[in-house]
Amino acid sequence: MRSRARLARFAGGAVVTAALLVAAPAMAFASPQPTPPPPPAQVGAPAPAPEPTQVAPQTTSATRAAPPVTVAPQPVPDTPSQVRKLPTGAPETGGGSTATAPDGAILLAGGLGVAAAAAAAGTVVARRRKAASRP
Amino acid sequence: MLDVPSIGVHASVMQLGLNPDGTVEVPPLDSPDAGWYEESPTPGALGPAVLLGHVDSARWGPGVFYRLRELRPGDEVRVTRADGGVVGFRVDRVETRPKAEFPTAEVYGDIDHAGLRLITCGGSFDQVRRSYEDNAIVYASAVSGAHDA
Repeated sequence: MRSRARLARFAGGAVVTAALLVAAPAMAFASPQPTPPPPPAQVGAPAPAPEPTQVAPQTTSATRAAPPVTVAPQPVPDTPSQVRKLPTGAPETGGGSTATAPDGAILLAGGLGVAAAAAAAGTVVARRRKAASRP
Repeated sequence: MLDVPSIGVHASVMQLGLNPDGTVEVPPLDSPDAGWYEESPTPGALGPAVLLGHVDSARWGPGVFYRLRELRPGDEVRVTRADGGVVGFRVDRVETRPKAEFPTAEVYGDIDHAGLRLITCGGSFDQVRRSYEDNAIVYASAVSGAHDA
């Protein structure tokens, strides 16, 4: 009888202990701690300088060479030319009317014209004189 | 307007572009006007402004640049722009070059000032090709009215 009661008491204690062990983590999840609010931002205040990043030196091997650094070529700034589109070839700026004769040919042509006009005028004058001399 | 007092030029200036084959347009043969290559700087702006004109035409005789070869260093050239500004240039040099060796870089290349190029034809006329064998080119530099646009 006494041992049965002792066994029952032990069993009860074990149940209580197990219940406490199960409940403890559950309680930890059930009641999360509130996070403190962030400090109010200050308008115009300078942003804190970032911590300088320190790269730990390579300590693997003294004889190991550093990997080659490949530097991308800097793009050359595209400066536009003053003449935006470059023509090809040479311009064709002549029809040839004054080319077959030296420059004087134009003057000669003009001179001939004047001479012809003068000759015609002279003819008219001569005819008038002739007419005037008629009785 | 283009004025070159020493050779009696007083001409309007039309705008010229490129032909489909990439050569520069020229004024119509019967036109008394000179032409400004519109892909070159405005006269008075930094760079070589390029003006072209005919030495002659088969039908109409002497063209607007018939006497271009008579220009000498120091001669005055004036260009009146569409905005009313007048730019004065002085002739630096005059040269005749075979068309087969047209000095593209010298004529159209970048320069450090406001320049002017006057171009026409010259030399012998090839009756078969109906083309002059040379180009007469006048190089000038702005002396007044230039701007850095």
